[in-house]
Amino acid sequence: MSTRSPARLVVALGVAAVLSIFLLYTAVAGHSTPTLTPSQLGHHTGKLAVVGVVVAPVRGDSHAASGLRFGLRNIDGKSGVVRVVYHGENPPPLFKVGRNVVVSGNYQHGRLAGDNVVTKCPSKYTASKQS
Amino acid sequence: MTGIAIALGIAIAAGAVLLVAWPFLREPVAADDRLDALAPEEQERLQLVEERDRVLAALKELEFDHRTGKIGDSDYRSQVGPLRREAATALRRLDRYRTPMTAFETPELPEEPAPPPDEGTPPQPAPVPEPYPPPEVDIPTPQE
Amino acid sequence: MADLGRAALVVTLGLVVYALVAGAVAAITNRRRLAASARNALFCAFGSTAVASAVLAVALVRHDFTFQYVAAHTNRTLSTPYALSAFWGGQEGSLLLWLLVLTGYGALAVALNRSLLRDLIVWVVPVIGGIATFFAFMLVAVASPFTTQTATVDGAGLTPSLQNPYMVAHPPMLYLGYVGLAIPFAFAAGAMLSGRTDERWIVATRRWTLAAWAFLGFGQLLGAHWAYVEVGWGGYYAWDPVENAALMPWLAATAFLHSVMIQERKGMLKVWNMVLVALAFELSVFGTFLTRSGVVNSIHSFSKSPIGAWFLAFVVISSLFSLALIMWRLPLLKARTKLESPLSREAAFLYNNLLLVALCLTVLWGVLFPIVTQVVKGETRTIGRPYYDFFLRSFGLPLLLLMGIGPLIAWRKTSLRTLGRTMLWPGLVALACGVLLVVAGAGSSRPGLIAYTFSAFVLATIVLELVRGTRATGSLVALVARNRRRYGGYVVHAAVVLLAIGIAGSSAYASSAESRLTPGQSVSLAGYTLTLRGVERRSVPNAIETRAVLDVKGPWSGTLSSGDNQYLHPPEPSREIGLKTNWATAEDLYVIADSANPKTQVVFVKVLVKPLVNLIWIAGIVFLLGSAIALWPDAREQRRLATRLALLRA
Repeated sequence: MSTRSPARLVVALGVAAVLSIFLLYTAVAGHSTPTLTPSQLGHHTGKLAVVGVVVAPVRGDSHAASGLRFGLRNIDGKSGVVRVVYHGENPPPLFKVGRNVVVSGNYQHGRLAGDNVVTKCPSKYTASKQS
Repeated sequence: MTGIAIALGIAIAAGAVLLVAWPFLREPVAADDRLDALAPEEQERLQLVEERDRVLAALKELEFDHRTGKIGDSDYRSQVGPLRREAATALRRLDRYRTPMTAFETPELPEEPAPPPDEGTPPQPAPVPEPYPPPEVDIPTPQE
Repeated sequence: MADLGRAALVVTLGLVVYALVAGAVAAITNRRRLAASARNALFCAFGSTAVASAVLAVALVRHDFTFQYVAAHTNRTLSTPYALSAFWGGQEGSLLLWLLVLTGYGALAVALNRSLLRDLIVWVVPVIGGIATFFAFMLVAVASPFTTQTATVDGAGLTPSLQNPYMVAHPPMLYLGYVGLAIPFAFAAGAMLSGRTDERWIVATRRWTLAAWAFLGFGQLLGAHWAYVEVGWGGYYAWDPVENAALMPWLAATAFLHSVMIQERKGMLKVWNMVLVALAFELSVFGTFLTRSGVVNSIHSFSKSPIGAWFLAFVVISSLFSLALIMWRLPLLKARTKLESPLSREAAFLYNNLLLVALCLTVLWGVLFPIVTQVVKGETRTIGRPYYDFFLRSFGLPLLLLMGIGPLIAWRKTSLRTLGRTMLWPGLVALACGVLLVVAGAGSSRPGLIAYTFSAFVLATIVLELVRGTRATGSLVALVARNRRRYGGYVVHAAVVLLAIGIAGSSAYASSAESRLTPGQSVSLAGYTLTLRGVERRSVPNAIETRAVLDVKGPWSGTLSSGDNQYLHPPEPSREIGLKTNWATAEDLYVIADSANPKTQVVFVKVLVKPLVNLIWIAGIVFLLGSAIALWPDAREQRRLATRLALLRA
């Protein structure tokens, strides 16, 4: 039995194993989706997500071929409107004009073809009026 | 409503001040205001008690693991000797602190060494042939 | 009345500041009466916080809309239990709950330990005082629950999907867990500050840590169950940042629970334990920060709030404080023994810790990634589900296996041959199960198959341990009663295994189908055929319910309805799923009806079959049972502690 404690070796090997799994994953499959506000969209294309507030008009049906059509604007209001065409399951029950949402999908030619909508629960933790 | 609220508020504040000041009110002049820290001797005795309990627990666990087959005979033999010697040392060192005045100490010691924190007590110790002579020191059985 | 609440909170702030300052001075200058005074201040702080809490609770029940908080979170139609649950439904109230639990726990921990751990407690008091000072300050100066207004006629109300028994219990459970982690942290800090870095602080806080960990775990399961039945997307965990905020401290606490066993027995890993307990505490405060600051996008999280900056500052300062303490006391934290073999129970615990912390940090990275990319690249990028699933499998499956190997391995060292011998039966059982599962068709998912096989191995190990132990002691009850911690732990492991099986079954082996249906049309899935009978709409008090009614034929036959509710006060919609648990086939039939239209009689239906999902909820019960066994007071231990106490009083 070696006199030097194998603890260091064990720990070093363990950490190395963990790190290598991590690095392997991020190298091979590190998907992350850009999550942008409408004002940041700019020249981005492809798979991304947009955070914004829903603006009228909201037309159509997500199950229909023409999809559910609505607009998204920056939550602080300081941007133009991005047109979204959403196909898929009905958006969550809390979806409506004025609600903050995150829509993910494919952004091409200035339009977002959305496939997933996440709404935020109405603010439970907004700052109280005085702060 | 506000009257009650104010009265309650004052009561709470007053109660808090009273309780916080209580140690000083009870003993306006303290003979010895030092923290009730343990004397170094008491500290060491406490440490020895803890050490003894720890070693005895390890011994009990070793025997239990051997009895349930988790440790092989050779592993058991190689570990039980040093552990028993450790236990003997711990008990011996603790013994030095015993004086007639502290006879109340360790009342829970039965005929066998004190049961460890949480291990099952085997009905009888596992018989293991000991190739080496048993340790010189007797593990003292408390008798006072 | 609001004035009383405000006053009580100001008194609390004064008291905890006193506990912090006077306590620290008393500890440094060795003053007994001052230390007692600081302790009393902590006890009183609990009292005044309780008064403030009572004021808020009464206001909620009485629908006192002069309180801005009450008006924002309740309305007149809310029944008393739900009105009370609004206590923790908003920012200010939940902070008050934090403070209440913190002062309560702190007072109790100090009171119970003040005789045996005198030199430690004298430092624990200012540490708890410091943490409480932060929360009290927030409540007094930044986010008061007692702001008033001219009374409105009615309040805003509580979101209907939150009016659910699970949502009533979930936050308090979590808080009992989050705040509970502050106690071992305070004792660890106290140990370092007083120089008493032996195992005493660990033994004293063992039950506290276990209880906090159990509450945190069970609270998360409650939340998952609510998401499954109420939110209705078909899942129970979405790797949402706020969900992760509870998972991370729980993982760190799990690692801590295991590694302290090594320190207690072998005097090893002292520095590691200090780091872990600080990590668990900081993660729990950080989790609170995440939930409130709006700093990451989340289905739960809320608009950006100034409170976030304060929380971040607190986390940073307390982390630096912990780090400084550890660095200062490094010489006192030397290990008593060394690791002797990579094949020993110590080593197994070490691997367990590495995997748990790795998983915890992986989740943390996923949560922080959007913030990091925003800062570094100027553009927010979010990490999706596949990342978390991958690492849950990579670290979780080996952890599962370790749960089985760990109990079989002996302390200090063991040989491969001995280990092989003890692992033989469980290994064979696992192999047999694996083969049977492949024959039964479970080979469709490799991670699922591995999870099932490992689970079989662990369960076999637990049974083996119980059998061997019973043979050695003569009775199972006596065995468990004398080794509550160990066998309670095994029961908890069994719960984790059930959880693993439930998760594997409901994710790896689930199936789904979607279809547009008109009356008479059907959709088929996994042996079930669901035919639409029609879409109905009816009015109930406070809501209009729309339901698609489906006739089901298959392993279970009956009727399921699903659709949505449109509530009137407050005007919010909610999705209502149709759920049938088929115990005979151990699966759930889950129906989500979308866009149910009573005029056109058209509905879009998504059907899910989720095998073994109910094992997850059963695991929660077993988890509580195991924790209760491990927590149960031990008469022998009490006697031993009493003896030591007598020793000190001599």
